[in-house]
Amino acid sequence: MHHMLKISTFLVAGFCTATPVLSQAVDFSNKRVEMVITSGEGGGADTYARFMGEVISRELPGQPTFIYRNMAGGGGIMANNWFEANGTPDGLIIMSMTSSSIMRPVFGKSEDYKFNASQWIPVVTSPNGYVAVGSKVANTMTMESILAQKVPLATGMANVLGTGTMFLLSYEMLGVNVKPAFNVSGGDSQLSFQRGEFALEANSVGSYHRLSMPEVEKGNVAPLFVFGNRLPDGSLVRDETLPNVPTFVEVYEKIHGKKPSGPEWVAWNALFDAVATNAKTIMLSEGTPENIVTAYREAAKRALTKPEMIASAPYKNILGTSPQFFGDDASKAAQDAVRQLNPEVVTWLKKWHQDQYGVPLQ
Amino acid sequence: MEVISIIGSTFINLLTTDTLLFLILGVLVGTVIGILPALGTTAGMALLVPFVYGMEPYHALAMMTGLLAVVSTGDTVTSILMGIPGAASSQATIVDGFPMAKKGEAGRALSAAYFSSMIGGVFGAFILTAFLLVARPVVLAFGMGEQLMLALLGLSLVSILSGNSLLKGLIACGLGMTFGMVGSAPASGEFRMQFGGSTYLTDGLPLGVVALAIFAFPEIINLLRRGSSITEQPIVKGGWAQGVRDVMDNFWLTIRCSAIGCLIGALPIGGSGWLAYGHTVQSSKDKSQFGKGDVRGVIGPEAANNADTGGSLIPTLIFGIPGGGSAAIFLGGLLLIGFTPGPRMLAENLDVTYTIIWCVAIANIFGAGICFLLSGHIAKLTAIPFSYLAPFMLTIIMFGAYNSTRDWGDLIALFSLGVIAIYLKRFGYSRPAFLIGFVLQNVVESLLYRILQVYSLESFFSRPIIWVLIGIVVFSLVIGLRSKTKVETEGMAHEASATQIMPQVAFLALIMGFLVYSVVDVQNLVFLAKVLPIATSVMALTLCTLGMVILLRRNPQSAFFHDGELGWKESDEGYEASPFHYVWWMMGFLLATYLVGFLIAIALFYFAFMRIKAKAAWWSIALMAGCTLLVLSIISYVFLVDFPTGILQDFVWMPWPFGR
Repeated sequence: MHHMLKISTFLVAGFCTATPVLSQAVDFSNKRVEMVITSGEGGGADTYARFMGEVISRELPGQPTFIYRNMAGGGGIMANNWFEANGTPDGLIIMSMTSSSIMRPVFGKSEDYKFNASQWIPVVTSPNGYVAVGSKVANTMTMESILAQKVPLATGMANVLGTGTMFLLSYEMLGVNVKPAFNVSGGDSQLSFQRGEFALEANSVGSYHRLSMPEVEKGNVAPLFVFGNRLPDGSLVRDETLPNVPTFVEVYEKIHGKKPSGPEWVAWNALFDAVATNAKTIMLSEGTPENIVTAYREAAKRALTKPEMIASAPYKNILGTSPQFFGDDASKAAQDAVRQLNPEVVTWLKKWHQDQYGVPLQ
Repeated sequence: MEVISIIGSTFINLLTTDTLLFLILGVLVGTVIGILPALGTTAGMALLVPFVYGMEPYHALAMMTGLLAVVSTGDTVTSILMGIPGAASSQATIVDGFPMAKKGEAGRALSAAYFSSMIGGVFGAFILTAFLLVARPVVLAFGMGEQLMLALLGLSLVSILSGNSLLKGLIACGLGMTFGMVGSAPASGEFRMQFGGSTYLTDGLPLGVVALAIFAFPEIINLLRRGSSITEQPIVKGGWAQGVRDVMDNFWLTIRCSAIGCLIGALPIGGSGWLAYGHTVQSSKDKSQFGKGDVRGVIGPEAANNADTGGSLIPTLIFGIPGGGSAAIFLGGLLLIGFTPGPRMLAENLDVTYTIIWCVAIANIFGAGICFLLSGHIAKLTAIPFSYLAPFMLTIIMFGAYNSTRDWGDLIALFSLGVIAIYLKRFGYSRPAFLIGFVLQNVVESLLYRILQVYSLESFFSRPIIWVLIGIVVFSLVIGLRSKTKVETEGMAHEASATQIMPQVAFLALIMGFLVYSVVDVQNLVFLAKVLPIATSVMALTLCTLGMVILLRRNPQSAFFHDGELGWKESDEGYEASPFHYVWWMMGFLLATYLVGFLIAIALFYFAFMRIKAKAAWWSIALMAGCTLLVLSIISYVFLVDFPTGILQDFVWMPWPFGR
C-alpha cells in the first residue's frame, strides 16, 4: 500500500508550498534556464515544453536563455527522477511534465519512482480537450450506428495507461463494444483510422482541428462526443471551439435516460481530472522561494493572456483553446486530481481493465 | 496549371530573397552536425528551436528544412572511415564503405556516397513535387498488412547477408530479434527481459547503442590488435572523380534505391538503407565483392537514406502526421513557427509546401557540395597510425552510446553487446543479420498484434497489394537462397575450424542458454505479449540444436564451422595481441569512469594508451587529450550532455565539466 502513503503526502503537502522569504527583485539576466522534458525530441510534449519555454523566457525579468534537456525513458520516470535529484530551488532548472507523472506513480511499481511530485510547484497547467471520432468506412459516424454494430470496434491507443483508459471507460459506459490495440502512436492510429482499419479514433481537440476537421468537412469522418471542459463549480461543458459536439455526459443521458453514477462515474471523473485537466504542467523545484515562484507565475500569465498571443497560430496549434490554469489554480487542479485517485478508485480501475481487456493497467 | 505557377514562383522567391541565406545557414549547421559523430537531426533541430520561435516564418522554415535535408549526407563520414555508424540511416553503408576505407579507397567511397546522396535527395524532392497532390491514396493503400510485408521483406534479406552459413545467419537474426524484445510488450505494456529490473531497460535497448556495439566495437578491437592505420594499403589517388563515375555508371541503381528510400520513408517502418542494400546486392550480376568493398554497396544505401527524408515528408505534408523521428521534430518546429502542416495547409497554403520541397532539393545539392569539397581531406584520416586514432575513436563510440539515453546503462550495454559482437564475428554469425532482426522485431510484433485486433484472415488476404508484396518477399527469398555468392561480413574462417570445436560449441551453448532464459522470462505475461517471443526463441533454439548436431558430428564439409581466431598469432592480418587484450583496456576505461568520472577517465586513457602503445611524446599526448576534452566540454555545454561522474565526485567537489 505504498501508493496510499504517497497519496496522503500529496494531500498534506499540496503542490503550492512556496517557501516564503523576504521579497526581493528577481533578475535572470545572463542566466541559462534548463527545462527538463519528459520525452525525446519531437512530438506533443516536446513541442509544448519548447513553446512554453520560449514564451515564458521573454517575460521573465532579465530574459534568460532557455535550454532544453530531453529525457525519454519509462514514460517520463527518468526525467522525473532526474529532476527530483538535480532540480535546484532557484528557478534555473525547471520541468515540463505530463499527466503521466501523476498517473504512473499511482498505478505502477512504486520503487521506480524516486520523486514526490506533490513537492513541486506548478507555474501553469495546460488542460487538453479530447474528441471521439467515427468514420464513414467503418459505419461509425453516429452513436446509433455504433450501438447497432455486432462485432467489436477496433481502436488504437497510444499507451495502456493514460488518455486511452479514459476513452475505453467512456465507451464501456456508453455500451460500445470496443477492441483496443495498445501502444499505437497517435500518427499511426490516425492513419489507420483514415484507412478504415480502426473504426474509432481518439483525438485531442488540437489534433482534431488539424488532422480530422478537413475530413469532417468532406463527410468522411464525424465527431461523436467530447469529454468537455471542467468549470469551477465542477460541471462539464462543451468545448468552445466545437459547440455542436455533445459532451460525454449528454450522450450518456441520451442513451441511458439518466445521469451517470456509481463507481465507474467516480473513476471517470478521477481519470478526467488526472489526464485531461492536468495534461501538461510547467513545474519548479521544491523549496523555490516565493519571489521566484511569483516571477514565473506572473511571466507565464502575462505571456499567455495577451490577446495577440491567444490569436497566434503557434498558440492555437500547441495549446488549443482550453483555458490555462495559472498559479494557485494550477496547484488546485493537481490537488483535485490526486485526491480523486484514491486507493478505492485505483483498485476498481485495475480490476475493470484486467477483466475487460486481459491486460494489466500499469 | 495553377499548381505549376506556384511551383515556379516559390522557386524564384526562394532564390531571389534572403530566405536563401537562411537555407544555406541551415545546410551548414546540418552538415557540421552530421559529420560530428553521435549527433544527428534531433540534436541539430533542438539547437535551432530557440532561434526559430519569433523569427520570420519563411526564414525559419528554410533554415529547418536545410538542416533536415542534409544531416544524413554528413553522417556517412564515420561510417565509411571508421566503421562507426553515424546514425541509423548509415548502418548499411558500413558493410562495404568501411572495407573500402581499409583498401585505401575512402576518398572514392565518400565521393560516391555524397554524389548518390545528392541524387537521392533531389529525387525525393522530385517525387514530392510530382506526386504530392495525388499521393494520398497511395499512403492510405499501405495498411498494417502491407507494412508487415515490407518488414518481412527486410527480414528476408538475412538470406543474402548470412555469409557462408545460412543457418548461422538465421540464428544471428533470431538472437537479434530476442534482444529487440527487451522492454515493454506492444500488446500489454508489460516489461520483458529486464535482467533483474532496471529502469534503463524498460524502453528496450537503444538502437544507437546496439549498432555501435555490433559494428564498431569488434572492428575497433581488431584494428587495435593489428596496430596499424585504418588503411591496409596506400591511399588511392583521384578517388573522388572515380566515385562520381561510379555513381554515373550505376545511375539506374541509384534511382531505384532512391525510390525504395522514398517509399519506406513515407511509411513508419524504418530500415530503408538495409532494403536498398539488399536490392543492390540482389540486382547485381557480380556479387563477389560485396562485404569486401564494392562501391555499389555504398551507392545504394546512401541514395536511399537521403530520399528517405523526402519520403518522410509525404505523410507530414499530406496528413500532418510525421513519417519518422526526424520528421516529428520538423513538424514540431513548423507548429512553433506558426505553420500547420496537414490537409488544410496543402489545400490553402500550397506555396509553403512547395517552398519546403524546393528547400529539400537545393539543400541536398549544397550539402553534398560542401561534403564533396571536404572529402579529400577527411579521407586522409585513415592514414593516421591507429594508436593515435584509437583513443579518439573510443571516445566517439563511448560518447555516441552515452548520448542515446545519457544513462550509465548505455555504457554497460555497449560493452556487454560489444563483447557478444566480438564472438559473433569470430564464429561467423552475420552481424548485419543480427541488426536487421533487432531493428525489425518491434515493427513486426507491433504490426502482427494490431493486425490480430483489426483483420480477419479473409479481410487480410483480400487486399491485392498484400499478394503483390508476398510475391516480392518470396522472390527475394528465392534469389537470396539460390545465389551462390553471399555477402560475407565476418572475415575468413581458420582452416582448423572443423577440428578445434570447443570454443564454437561453448558460444552456441551460451546463445541457447540466453534463448531459454528469454522463454522462461516471459512465461507469466499476457498471451499476446509472450507469443512472438516464445515462437522466435523456440525457432532459434531449433536452429541452434541443428547447429550443435553439425558441430558435434564434425562433418568438415559444413560451412557451419567457423572460427576466425584459431592461431591468431600467425594470422594473415598480423594481429599483435590476443582478442581479449584490448577488451581489458576498455574494461579498464569503464572502471576508471566508475571511479573518477567520464572526462578524467578519458584523459587517463589517452595518457596510458598513447604512452604504452604508441610511445608518444608527453606533449603530444597532452595536446590530443586537451583538444578532445575541449570538444567534449563544448558539446556538453551546447547540447546539455552531462558526462557520468564517478565515486571521486561524490567525495571531492570538482568544477564543471568534471563534476556537477
